[in-house]
Amino acid sequence: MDNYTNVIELDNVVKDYGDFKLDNVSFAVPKGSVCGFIGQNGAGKTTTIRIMLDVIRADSGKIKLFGEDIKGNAPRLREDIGVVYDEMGFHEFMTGKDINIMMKHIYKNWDEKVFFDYLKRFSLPSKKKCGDFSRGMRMKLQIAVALSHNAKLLVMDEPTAGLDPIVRNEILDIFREFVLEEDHSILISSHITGDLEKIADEVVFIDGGKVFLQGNKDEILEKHGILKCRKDEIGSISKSLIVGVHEGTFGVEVLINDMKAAAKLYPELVIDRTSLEEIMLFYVASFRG
Amino acid sequence: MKGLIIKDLMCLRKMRATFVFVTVSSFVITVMALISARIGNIALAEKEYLAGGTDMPMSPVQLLWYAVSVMVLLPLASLGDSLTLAFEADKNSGFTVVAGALPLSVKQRVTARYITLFLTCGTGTVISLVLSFLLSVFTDIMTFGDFAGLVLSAASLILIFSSLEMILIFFVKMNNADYVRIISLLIMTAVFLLCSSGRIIGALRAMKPFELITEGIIFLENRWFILAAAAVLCLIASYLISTGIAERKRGEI
Repeated sequence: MDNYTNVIELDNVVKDYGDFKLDNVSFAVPKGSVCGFIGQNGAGKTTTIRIMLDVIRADSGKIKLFGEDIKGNAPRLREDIGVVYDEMGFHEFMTGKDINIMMKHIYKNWDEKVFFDYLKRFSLPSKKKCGDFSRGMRMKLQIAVALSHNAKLLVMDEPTAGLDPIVRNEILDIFREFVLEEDHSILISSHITGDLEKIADEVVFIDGGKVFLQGNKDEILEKHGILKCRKDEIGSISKSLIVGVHEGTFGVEVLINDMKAAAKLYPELVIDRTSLEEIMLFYVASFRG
Repeated sequence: MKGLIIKDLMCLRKMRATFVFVTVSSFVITVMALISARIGNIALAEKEYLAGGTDMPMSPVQLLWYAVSVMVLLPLASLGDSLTLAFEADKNSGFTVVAGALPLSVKQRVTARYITLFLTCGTGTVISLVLSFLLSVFTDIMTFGDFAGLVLSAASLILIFSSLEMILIFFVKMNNADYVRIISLLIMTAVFLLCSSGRIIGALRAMKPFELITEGIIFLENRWFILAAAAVLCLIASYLISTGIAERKRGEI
Protein backbone atom coordinates (compact mmCIF):
# COMPACT_ATOMS: atom_id res chain seq x y z
CA MET A 1 0.00 0.00 0.00
CA ASP A 2 2.96 2.34 0.50
CA ASN A 3 4.05 2.18 -3.16
CA TYR A 4 1.95 4.96 -4.54
CA THR A 5 2.76 8.41 -5.81
CA ASN A 6 -0.70 9.92 -5.62
CA VAL A 7 -2.67 9.66 -2.43
CA ILE A 8 -5.89 10.55 -4.31
CA GLU A 9 -6.60 9.88 -7.97
CA LEU A 10 -9.88 10.72 -9.68
CA ASP A 11 -10.22 9.76 -13.30
CA ASN A 12 -13.19 11.00 -15.33
CA VAL A 13 -15.61 10.82 -12.43
CA VAL A 14 -19.21 11.52 -13.40
CA LYS A 15 -22.22 11.94 -11.14
CA ASP A 16 -25.44 13.21 -12.61
CA TYR A 17 -28.20 14.44 -10.29
CA GLY A 18 -30.25 15.92 -13.10
CA ASP A 19 -30.04 19.49 -11.88
CA PHE A 20 -26.32 19.19 -11.16
CA LYS A 21 -23.60 17.12 -12.76
CA LEU A 22 -20.03 16.33 -11.83
CA ASP A 23 -18.63 16.25 -15.30
CA ASN A 24 -15.57 14.07 -15.92
CA VAL A 25 -13.72 15.26 -12.88
CA SER A 26 -10.09 14.20 -12.95
CA PHE A 27 -7.27 15.23 -10.64
CA ALA A 28 -4.57 13.75 -8.48
CA VAL A 29 -3.11 14.71 -5.12
CA PRO A 30 0.56 13.73 -4.80
CA LYS A 31 1.61 11.92 -1.63
CA GLY A 32 2.98 14.30 0.97
CA SER A 33 1.32 17.39 -0.45
CA VAL A 34 -1.41 19.78 0.58
CA CYS A 35 -3.98 20.19 -2.14
CA GLY A 36 -6.44 23.06 -2.13
CA PHE A 37 -9.78 22.24 -3.71
CA ILE A 38 -11.16 25.61 -4.70
CA GLY A 39 -14.63 26.51 -5.82
CA GLN A 40 -17.65 28.56 -4.94
CA ASN A 41 -20.50 27.16 -2.89
CA GLY A 42 -22.32 24.62 -5.02
CA ALA A 43 -19.38 24.09 -7.37
CA GLY A 44 -19.24 20.35 -6.62
CA LYS A 45 -16.54 20.18 -3.94
CA THR A 46 -18.62 18.33 -1.33
CA THR A 47 -20.06 15.92 -3.91
CA THR A 48 -16.55 15.14 -5.14
CA ILE A 49 -15.34 14.53 -1.58
CA ARG A 50 -18.29 12.26 -0.81
CA ILE A 51 -17.72 10.26 -3.99
CA MET A 52 -14.03 10.03 -3.16
CA LEU A 53 -14.84 8.60 0.27
CA ASP A 54 -17.41 6.21 -1.28
CA VAL A 55 -20.24 7.77 0.72
CA ILE A 56 -22.08 8.21 -2.56
CA ARG A 57 -21.41 6.26 -5.73
CA ALA A 58 -20.20 7.80 -8.95
CA ASP A 59 -22.08 7.00 -12.16
CA SER A 60 -18.77 6.34 -13.87
CA GLY A 61 -15.06 6.95 -13.51
CA LYS A 62 -12.24 5.56 -11.41
CA ILE A 63 -11.22 6.59 -7.92
CA LYS A 64 -8.07 5.49 -6.19
CA LEU A 65 -6.98 6.22 -2.64
CA PHE A 66 -3.44 5.34 -1.56
CA GLY A 67 -3.03 3.71 -5.00
CA GLU A 68 -5.95 1.32 -4.48
CA ASP A 69 -9.31 1.32 -6.22
CA ILE A 70 -11.96 2.30 -3.67
CA LYS A 71 -14.38 -0.30 -5.06
CA GLY A 72 -14.77 -2.86 -2.29
CA ASN A 73 -11.86 -1.36 -0.35
CA ALA A 74 -13.32 1.92 0.86
CA PRO A 75 -14.06 0.98 4.50
CA ARG A 76 -10.52 -0.36 4.97
CA LEU A 77 -8.95 2.64 3.22
CA ARG A 78 -10.97 5.04 5.39
CA GLU A 79 -9.01 3.76 8.41
CA ASP A 80 -6.18 5.99 7.19
CA ILE A 81 -8.31 9.02 6.43
CA GLY A 82 -9.30 11.74 8.84
CA VAL A 83 -12.32 13.71 7.69
CA VAL A 84 -13.36 17.17 8.83
CA TYR A 85 -16.60 18.74 7.68
CA ASP A 86 -17.81 22.30 7.87
CA GLU A 87 -20.38 21.21 10.49
CA MET A 88 -19.42 19.11 13.52
CA GLY A 89 -21.74 16.10 13.08
CA PHE A 90 -21.39 14.70 16.58
CA HIS A 91 -24.45 14.46 18.79
CA GLU A 92 -24.76 17.57 20.91
CA PHE A 93 -25.11 15.60 24.14
CA MET A 94 -21.77 13.87 23.57
CA THR A 95 -18.70 14.86 25.52
CA GLY A 96 -15.09 14.37 24.47
CA LYS A 97 -15.07 11.29 26.68
CA ASP A 98 -18.15 9.86 24.92
CA ILE A 99 -16.57 10.47 21.52
CA ASN A 100 -13.40 8.70 22.68
CA ILE A 101 -15.42 5.66 23.81
CA MET A 102 -17.23 5.54 20.47
CA MET A 103 -14.16 6.07 18.28
CA LYS A 104 -11.91 3.61 20.06
CA HIS A 105 -14.38 0.92 19.09
CA ILE A 106 -14.49 2.09 15.48
CA TYR A 107 -10.88 2.89 14.48
CA LYS A 108 -8.34 0.09 14.84
CA ASN A 109 -5.56 2.65 15.30
CA TRP A 110 -7.43 4.96 17.65
CA ASP A 111 -5.01 6.48 20.15
CA GLU A 112 -6.89 7.86 23.14
CA LYS A 113 -3.77 9.42 24.62
CA VAL A 114 -3.25 11.43 21.43
CA PHE A 115 -6.95 12.39 21.44
CA PHE A 116 -6.95 13.67 25.01
CA ASP A 117 -3.64 15.44 24.38
CA TYR A 118 -5.26 17.27 21.47
CA LEU A 119 -8.29 18.15 23.60
CA LYS A 120 -5.93 19.62 26.17
CA ARG A 121 -3.90 21.45 23.57
CA PHE A 122 -7.05 22.91 22.00
CA SER A 123 -8.43 23.79 25.47
CA LEU A 124 -11.48 21.60 24.89
CA PRO A 125 -13.02 20.34 28.14
CA SER A 126 -13.46 16.57 27.84
CA LYS A 127 -16.50 16.47 30.12
CA LYS A 128 -18.44 19.31 28.50
CA LYS A 129 -21.20 18.53 26.01
CA CYS A 130 -19.98 19.39 22.52
CA GLY A 131 -23.33 21.05 21.81
CA ASP A 132 -22.17 23.81 24.16
CA PHE A 133 -18.96 24.38 22.19
CA SER A 134 -18.41 27.45 20.00
CA ARG A 135 -17.98 26.98 16.25
CA GLY A 136 -14.20 27.17 16.58
CA MET A 137 -14.20 24.59 19.38
CA ARG A 138 -16.43 22.26 17.36
CA MET A 139 -14.04 22.47 14.44
CA LYS A 140 -11.08 21.77 16.72
CA LEU A 141 -12.91 18.77 18.17
CA GLN A 142 -13.38 17.36 14.66
CA ILE A 143 -9.71 17.95 13.93
CA ALA A 144 -8.74 16.22 17.18
CA VAL A 145 -10.81 13.19 16.13
CA ALA A 146 -9.35 13.25 12.61
CA LEU A 147 -5.79 13.32 13.97
CA SER A 148 -6.17 10.66 16.66
CA HIS A 149 -6.19 7.49 14.58
CA ASN A 150 -2.87 7.82 12.77
CA ALA A 151 -4.47 9.06 9.58
CA LYS A 152 -2.21 9.52 6.59
CA LEU A 153 -4.65 11.66 4.69
CA LEU A 154 -6.79 14.50 5.96
CA VAL A 155 -9.83 15.37 3.87
CA MET A 156 -11.46 18.59 4.88
CA ASP A 157 -14.56 20.22 3.54
CA GLU A 158 -14.56 23.95 4.27
CA PRO A 159 -12.89 23.54 7.67
CA THR A 160 -12.18 27.23 8.15
CA ALA A 161 -15.51 28.62 6.95
CA GLY A 162 -17.15 30.90 9.49
CA LEU A 163 -14.15 30.98 11.82
CA ASP A 164 -12.40 34.11 13.02
CA PRO A 165 -8.88 34.78 11.64
CA ILE A 166 -7.12 33.77 14.88
CA VAL A 167 -8.78 30.35 15.06
CA ARG A 168 -8.26 29.91 11.30
CA ASN A 169 -4.55 30.53 11.69
CA GLU A 170 -4.37 28.13 14.64
CA ILE A 171 -6.03 25.47 12.53
CA LEU A 172 -3.72 26.10 9.58
CA ASP A 173 -0.76 25.67 11.95
CA ILE A 174 -2.11 22.27 12.97
CA PHE A 175 -2.33 21.27 9.31
CA ARG A 176 1.23 22.45 8.69
CA GLU A 177 2.37 20.34 11.62
CA PHE A 178 0.48 17.32 10.24
CA VAL A 179 2.22 17.45 6.85
CA LEU A 180 5.67 17.56 8.41
CA GLU A 181 5.52 13.75 8.22
CA GLU A 182 6.49 12.97 4.66
CA ASP A 183 3.72 10.45 3.97
CA HIS A 184 0.98 12.74 5.32
CA SER A 185 -1.23 14.55 2.81
CA ILE A 186 -4.16 16.92 2.94
CA LEU A 187 -7.04 17.69 0.63
CA ILE A 188 -8.70 20.86 1.80
CA SER A 189 -11.71 22.25 0.05
CA SER A 190 -12.48 25.89 0.56
CA HIS A 191 -13.74 29.03 -1.03
CA ILE A 192 -11.51 31.03 1.31
CA THR A 193 -8.57 31.16 -1.07
CA GLY A 194 -6.43 33.18 1.34
CA ASP A 195 -6.09 30.14 3.60
CA LEU A 196 -5.19 27.89 0.70
CA GLU A 197 -2.63 30.36 -0.55
CA LYS A 198 -0.88 30.04 2.83
CA ILE A 199 -0.85 26.28 3.02
CA ALA A 200 -1.46 24.53 -0.32
CA ASP A 201 1.19 23.02 -2.59
CA GLU A 202 -1.26 22.00 -5.27
CA VAL A 203 -4.57 23.52 -6.26
CA VAL A 204 -7.61 22.25 -8.12
CA PHE A 205 -10.26 24.71 -9.25
CA ILE A 206 -13.80 23.51 -9.83
CA ASP A 207 -16.94 25.25 -11.01
CA GLY A 208 -20.30 23.92 -12.15
CA GLY A 209 -19.07 20.36 -11.59
CA LYS A 210 -16.08 20.78 -13.93
CA VAL A 211 -12.42 21.09 -13.04
CA PHE A 212 -11.10 24.05 -15.00
CA LEU A 213 -7.59 24.51 -13.66
CA GLN A 214 -5.19 22.42 -11.61
CA GLY A 215 -1.51 22.23 -10.86
CA ASN A 216 1.23 23.41 -8.58
CA LYS A 217 0.07 26.50 -6.69
CA ASP A 218 3.32 28.43 -7.05
CA GLU A 219 3.53 27.66 -10.77
CA ILE A 220 -0.07 28.77 -11.28
CA LEU A 221 0.54 32.00 -9.35
CA GLU A 222 3.79 32.58 -11.24
CA LYS A 223 2.21 32.05 -14.63
CA HIS A 224 -0.91 34.10 -14.12
CA GLY A 225 -0.94 37.86 -13.84
CA ILE A 226 -3.18 40.86 -14.05
CA LEU A 227 -2.41 43.04 -17.03
CA LYS A 228 -3.70 46.58 -16.77
CA CYS A 229 -4.44 48.57 -19.90
CA ARG A 230 -6.88 50.88 -21.62
CA LYS A 231 -9.97 49.51 -23.34
CA ASP A 232 -8.62 50.26 -26.80
CA GLU A 233 -5.43 48.29 -26.05
CA ILE A 234 -7.19 44.96 -25.47
CA GLY A 235 -7.44 44.25 -29.18
CA SER A 236 -3.66 44.21 -29.44
CA ILE A 237 -3.26 41.48 -26.78
CA SER A 238 -2.96 37.91 -28.02
CA LYS A 239 -6.23 36.08 -27.33
CA SER A 240 -4.40 32.91 -26.37
CA LEU A 241 -2.98 34.75 -23.35
CA ILE A 242 -6.30 36.13 -22.14
CA VAL A 243 -8.28 34.19 -19.52
CA GLY A 244 -10.75 36.92 -18.69
CA VAL A 245 -11.32 40.62 -18.80
CA HIS A 246 -12.72 42.90 -16.15
CA GLU A 247 -13.72 46.37 -17.22
CA GLY A 248 -13.41 49.15 -14.68
CA THR A 249 -14.03 52.89 -14.74
CA PHE A 250 -10.47 53.82 -15.51
CA GLY A 251 -9.39 50.91 -17.66
CA VAL A 252 -9.45 47.15 -17.92
CA GLU A 253 -7.85 44.34 -15.99
CA VAL A 254 -6.95 41.25 -17.96
CA LEU A 255 -6.04 37.94 -16.39
CA ILE A 256 -3.33 36.42 -18.51
CA ASN A 257 -2.16 32.84 -18.35
CA ASP A 258 1.52 33.40 -19.22
CA MET A 259 3.03 36.32 -17.43
CA LYS A 260 6.54 35.91 -18.90
CA ALA A 261 5.29 35.76 -22.49
CA ALA A 262 3.04 38.76 -21.89
CA ALA A 263 5.89 40.76 -20.33
CA LYS A 264 8.03 40.08 -23.39
CA LEU A 265 5.28 40.90 -25.87
CA TYR A 266 3.94 43.97 -24.09
CA PRO A 267 6.79 45.57 -22.10
CA GLU A 268 4.98 48.90 -22.01
CA LEU A 269 2.00 47.46 -20.09
CA VAL A 270 1.85 46.91 -16.33
CA ILE A 271 1.47 43.28 -15.24
CA ASP A 272 0.83 42.64 -11.55
CA ARG A 273 1.06 39.41 -9.64
CA THR A 274 -2.30 37.83 -8.91
CA SER A 275 -3.94 35.78 -6.19
CA LEU A 276 -5.85 32.49 -6.18
CA GLU A 277 -9.03 34.44 -5.51
CA GLU A 278 -8.58 36.63 -8.61
CA ILE A 279 -7.70 33.58 -10.68
CA MET A 280 -10.87 31.85 -9.47
CA LEU A 281 -13.04 34.90 -10.16
CA PHE A 282 -11.69 35.49 -13.67
CA TYR A 283 -11.85 31.82 -14.67
CA VAL A 284 -15.35 31.35 -13.28
CA ALA A 285 -16.55 34.49 -15.10
CA SER A 286 -15.04 33.38 -18.41
CA PHE A 287 -16.19 29.80 -17.83
CA ARG A 288 -19.76 30.96 -17.44
CA GLY A 289 -19.46 33.15 -20.53
CA MET B 1 -19.46 -1.44 14.50
CA LYS B 2 -19.35 -1.73 18.28
CA GLY B 3 -18.69 2.01 18.43
CA LEU B 4 -21.90 2.75 16.52
CA ILE B 5 -23.91 0.51 18.85
CA ILE B 6 -22.42 2.32 21.85
CA LYS B 7 -23.30 5.64 20.21
CA ASP B 8 -26.88 4.46 19.55
CA LEU B 9 -27.24 3.36 23.16
CA MET B 10 -25.94 6.76 24.26
CA CYS B 11 -28.61 8.36 22.04
CA LEU B 12 -31.25 6.23 23.71
CA ARG B 13 -30.17 7.23 27.22
CA LYS B 14 -33.10 9.61 27.45
CA MET B 15 -35.41 6.65 26.74
CA ARG B 16 -34.02 4.95 29.84
CA ALA B 17 -35.81 7.40 32.12
CA THR B 18 -39.15 6.80 30.36
CA PHE B 19 -38.65 3.03 30.50
CA VAL B 20 -37.77 3.06 34.21
CA PHE B 21 -40.71 5.35 35.02
CA VAL B 22 -43.23 3.29 33.02
CA THR B 23 -41.86 -0.03 34.34
CA VAL B 24 -41.79 1.00 37.99
CA SER B 25 -45.17 2.73 37.93
CA SER B 26 -46.94 -0.07 36.05
CA PHE B 27 -45.32 -2.63 38.40
CA VAL B 28 -46.39 -0.75 41.52
CA ILE B 29 -49.94 -0.17 40.24
CA THR B 30 -50.26 -3.82 39.19
CA VAL B 31 -48.97 -5.10 42.54
CA MET B 32 -51.44 -2.84 44.37
CA ALA B 33 -54.31 -4.03 42.18
CA LEU B 34 -53.34 -7.67 42.66
CA ILE B 35 -53.13 -7.26 46.44
CA SER B 36 -56.52 -5.58 46.32
CA ALA B 37 -57.87 -8.58 44.42
CA ARG B 38 -56.72 -10.79 47.29
CA ILE B 39 -57.59 -8.82 50.37
CA GLY B 40 -58.90 -5.44 49.30
CA ASN B 41 -61.81 -3.75 47.57
CA ILE B 42 -61.51 -5.77 44.36
CA ALA B 43 -61.80 -8.97 46.42
CA LEU B 44 -64.95 -7.59 48.09
CA ALA B 45 -66.40 -6.53 44.73
CA GLU B 46 -65.70 -9.98 43.33
CA LYS B 47 -67.49 -11.62 46.29
CA GLU B 48 -70.46 -9.32 45.73
CA TYR B 49 -70.44 -10.08 42.00
CA LEU B 50 -70.36 -13.83 42.61
CA ALA B 51 -73.21 -13.51 45.11
CA GLY B 52 -75.22 -11.73 42.43
CA GLY B 53 -75.47 -8.55 44.47
CA THR B 54 -74.27 -6.25 41.69
CA ASP B 55 -75.39 -5.36 38.17
CA MET B 56 -71.82 -5.27 36.81
CA PRO B 57 -71.73 -6.88 33.35
CA MET B 58 -68.40 -8.50 34.06
CA SER B 59 -66.49 -9.98 36.96
CA PRO B 60 -64.11 -7.44 38.61
CA VAL B 61 -61.35 -10.04 38.47
CA GLN B 62 -61.93 -10.42 34.74
CA LEU B 63 -61.58 -6.64 34.38
CA LEU B 64 -58.45 -6.72 36.51
CA TRP B 65 -57.04 -9.40 34.23
CA TYR B 66 -57.52 -7.05 31.24
CA ALA B 67 -55.85 -4.23 33.13
CA VAL B 68 -52.91 -6.36 34.28
CA SER B 69 -52.38 -7.60 30.72
CA VAL B 70 -52.12 -4.02 29.48
CA MET B 71 -49.83 -3.02 32.38
CA VAL B 72 -47.45 -5.88 31.61
CA LEU B 73 -47.21 -4.74 28.00
CA LEU B 74 -46.58 -1.07 28.82
CA PRO B 75 -42.86 -1.19 29.73
CA LEU B 76 -41.97 -2.90 26.46
CA ALA B 77 -44.28 -0.62 24.48
CA SER B 78 -42.26 2.33 25.80
CA LEU B 79 -39.23 0.89 23.96
CA GLY B 80 -41.11 0.48 20.69
CA ASP B 81 -39.82 3.77 19.36
CA SER B 82 -36.11 3.18 19.91
CA LEU B 83 -35.28 2.63 16.26
CA THR B 84 -36.77 5.83 14.88
CA LEU B 85 -35.35 7.77 17.83
CA ALA B 86 -31.84 6.58 16.97
CA PHE B 87 -32.33 7.49 13.29
CA GLU B 88 -33.77 10.88 14.22
CA ALA B 89 -30.93 11.64 16.60
CA ASP B 90 -28.36 10.90 13.88
CA LYS B 91 -30.21 12.98 11.34
CA ASN B 92 -30.66 15.98 13.63
CA SER B 93 -27.04 16.03 14.72
CA GLY B 94 -25.63 15.51 11.22
CA PHE B 95 -23.95 12.29 12.33
CA THR B 96 -25.06 10.55 9.12
CA VAL B 97 -22.38 12.55 7.29
CA VAL B 98 -19.72 11.55 9.84
CA ALA B 99 -20.81 7.90 9.68
CA GLY B 100 -20.19 7.82 5.93
CA ALA B 101 -16.52 8.62 6.47
CA LEU B 102 -15.94 5.99 9.15
CA PRO B 103 -14.06 2.78 8.30
CA LEU B 104 -17.26 0.75 8.26
CA SER B 105 -19.14 -0.79 5.37
CA VAL B 106 -22.77 0.09 4.67
CA LYS B 107 -23.76 -3.41 5.78
CA GLN B 108 -21.92 -3.00 9.10
CA ARG B 109 -23.69 0.29 9.74
CA VAL B 110 -27.12 -1.21 9.06
CA THR B 111 -26.26 -4.29 11.14
CA ALA B 112 -25.28 -2.03 14.05
CA ARG B 113 -28.79 -0.57 14.02
CA TYR B 114 -30.36 -4.03 14.20
CA ILE B 115 -28.07 -5.03 17.07
CA THR B 116 -29.10 -1.86 18.92
CA LEU B 117 -32.71 -2.87 18.39
CA PHE B 118 -32.05 -6.37 19.77
CA LEU B 119 -30.20 -4.94 22.75
CA THR B 120 -32.94 -2.48 23.72
CA CYS B 121 -35.75 -4.91 23.06
CA GLY B 122 -33.84 -7.77 24.72
CA THR B 123 -33.06 -5.74 27.83
CA GLY B 124 -36.68 -4.62 28.06
CA THR B 125 -37.88 -8.20 27.68
CA VAL B 126 -35.57 -9.56 30.39
CA ILE B 127 -36.59 -6.80 32.82
CA SER B 128 -40.27 -7.37 32.02
CA LEU B 129 -39.87 -11.13 32.53
CA VAL B 130 -38.28 -10.59 35.93
CA LEU B 131 -41.10 -8.26 36.93
CA SER B 132 -43.63 -10.78 35.57
CA PHE B 133 -42.14 -13.43 37.81
CA LEU B 134 -42.51 -11.12 40.81
CA LEU B 135 -46.11 -10.27 39.81
CA SER B 136 -47.00 -13.95 39.46
CA VAL B 137 -46.17 -14.35 43.16
CA PHE B 138 -48.97 -11.92 44.08
CA THR B 139 -51.79 -13.52 42.11
CA ASP B 140 -53.57 -16.64 40.97
CA ILE B 141 -55.26 -14.81 38.07
CA MET B 142 -52.24 -15.37 35.88
CA THR B 143 -49.36 -17.80 36.05
CA PHE B 144 -45.79 -16.80 35.27
CA GLY B 145 -46.27 -18.60 31.95
CA ASP B 146 -49.21 -16.29 31.11
CA PHE B 147 -47.21 -13.20 32.05
CA ALA B 148 -44.20 -14.43 30.08
CA GLY B 149 -46.43 -15.15 27.07
CA LEU B 150 -47.66 -11.56 27.11
CA VAL B 151 -44.14 -10.15 27.45
CA LEU B 152 -42.78 -12.30 24.62
CA SER B 153 -45.75 -11.38 22.43
CA ALA B 154 -45.10 -7.69 23.10
CA ALA B 155 -41.40 -8.12 22.29
CA SER B 156 -42.30 -9.90 19.04
CA LEU B 157 -44.73 -7.16 18.06
CA ILE B 158 -42.06 -4.51 18.71
CA LEU B 159 -39.61 -6.42 16.52
CA ILE B 160 -42.20 -6.70 13.72
CA PHE B 161 -42.99 -2.98 14.06
CA SER B 162 -39.29 -2.07 13.97
CA SER B 163 -38.67 -4.35 10.97
CA LEU B 164 -41.32 -2.44 9.05
CA GLU B 165 -39.90 0.88 10.17
CA MET B 166 -36.43 -0.14 9.02
CA ILE B 167 -37.63 -1.06 5.53
CA LEU B 168 -39.58 2.19 5.26
CA ILE B 169 -36.62 4.27 6.39
CA PHE B 170 -34.33 2.72 3.77
CA PHE B 171 -36.78 1.99 0.99
CA VAL B 172 -38.74 5.20 0.84
CA LYS B 173 -35.91 7.18 2.44
CA MET B 174 -38.47 8.65 4.76
CA ASN B 175 -37.05 11.61 6.52
CA ASN B 176 -40.07 12.19 8.68
CA ALA B 177 -40.04 9.72 11.57
CA ASP B 178 -43.72 10.35 12.31
CA TYR B 179 -44.72 9.06 8.88
CA VAL B 180 -42.53 5.99 9.44
CA ARG B 181 -44.25 5.28 12.76
CA ILE B 182 -47.76 5.89 11.45
CA ILE B 183 -47.37 3.87 8.25
CA SER B 184 -45.77 0.94 10.14
CA LEU B 185 -48.62 1.01 12.61
CA LEU B 186 -51.20 1.19 9.81
CA ILE B 187 -49.61 -1.80 8.05
CA MET B 188 -49.68 -3.84 11.27
CA THR B 189 -53.28 -2.82 11.97
CA ALA B 190 -54.30 -3.73 8.41
CA VAL B 191 -52.67 -7.17 8.73
CA PHE B 192 -54.38 -7.71 12.10
CA LEU B 193 -57.78 -6.70 10.68
CA LEU B 194 -57.30 -8.94 7.64
CA CYS B 195 -56.30 -11.95 9.76
CA SER B 196 -59.09 -11.59 12.29
CA SER B 197 -61.84 -9.91 10.30
CA GLY B 198 -64.08 -13.00 10.66
CA ARG B 199 -63.78 -13.02 14.45
CA ILE B 200 -64.19 -9.27 14.74
CA ILE B 201 -67.36 -9.29 12.63
CA GLY B 202 -68.68 -12.33 14.55
CA ALA B 203 -68.07 -10.71 17.94
CA LEU B 204 -69.65 -7.44 16.84
CA ARG B 205 -72.70 -9.22 15.43
CA ALA B 206 -73.11 -11.22 18.65
CA MET B 207 -72.60 -7.97 20.61
CA LYS B 208 -69.83 -9.63 22.58
CA PRO B 209 -66.81 -7.35 22.17
CA PHE B 210 -65.33 -8.44 25.51
CA GLU B 211 -65.08 -11.99 24.21
CA LEU B 212 -62.90 -10.69 21.41
CA ILE B 213 -60.60 -8.99 23.91
CA THR B 214 -60.50 -12.13 26.06
CA GLU B 215 -59.66 -14.23 23.03
CA GLY B 216 -56.97 -11.73 22.05
CA ILE B 217 -55.31 -11.80 25.46
CA ILE B 218 -55.45 -15.59 25.60
CA PHE B 219 -53.85 -15.66 22.16
CA LEU B 220 -51.04 -13.35 23.33
CA GLU B 221 -50.51 -15.42 26.49
CA ASN B 222 -50.48 -18.84 24.85
CA ARG B 223 -49.62 -18.37 21.19
CA TRP B 224 -46.68 -15.99 21.60
CA PHE B 225 -44.49 -18.34 19.57
CA ILE B 226 -46.57 -17.60 16.45
CA LEU B 227 -45.78 -13.92 16.84
CA ALA B 228 -42.15 -14.75 17.66
CA ALA B 229 -41.86 -16.80 14.46
CA ALA B 230 -43.46 -13.94 12.49
CA ALA B 231 -40.99 -11.53 14.10
CA VAL B 232 -38.03 -13.70 13.07
CA LEU B 233 -39.29 -13.86 9.47
CA CYS B 234 -39.96 -10.10 9.39
CA LEU B 235 -36.52 -9.35 10.82
CA ILE B 236 -34.74 -11.55 8.28
CA ALA B 237 -36.70 -10.02 5.39
CA SER B 238 -36.22 -6.52 6.78
CA TYR B 239 -32.46 -7.00 7.26
CA LEU B 240 -31.96 -8.37 3.74
CA ILE B 241 -34.08 -5.66 2.13
CA SER B 242 -32.56 -2.85 4.22
CA THR B 243 -28.92 -3.83 3.64
CA GLY B 244 -29.63 -4.33 -0.06
CA ILE B 245 -31.28 -0.93 -0.45
CA ALA B 246 -28.71 0.87 1.70
CA GLU B 247 -25.84 -0.63 -0.31
CA ARG B 248 -27.47 0.35 -3.60
CA LYS B 249 -28.70 3.79 -2.63
CA ARG B 250 -25.76 4.77 -0.41
CA GLY B 251 -26.01 8.34 0.72
CA GLU B 252 -26.56 9.00 4.36
CA ILE B 253 -27.57 6.06 6.53
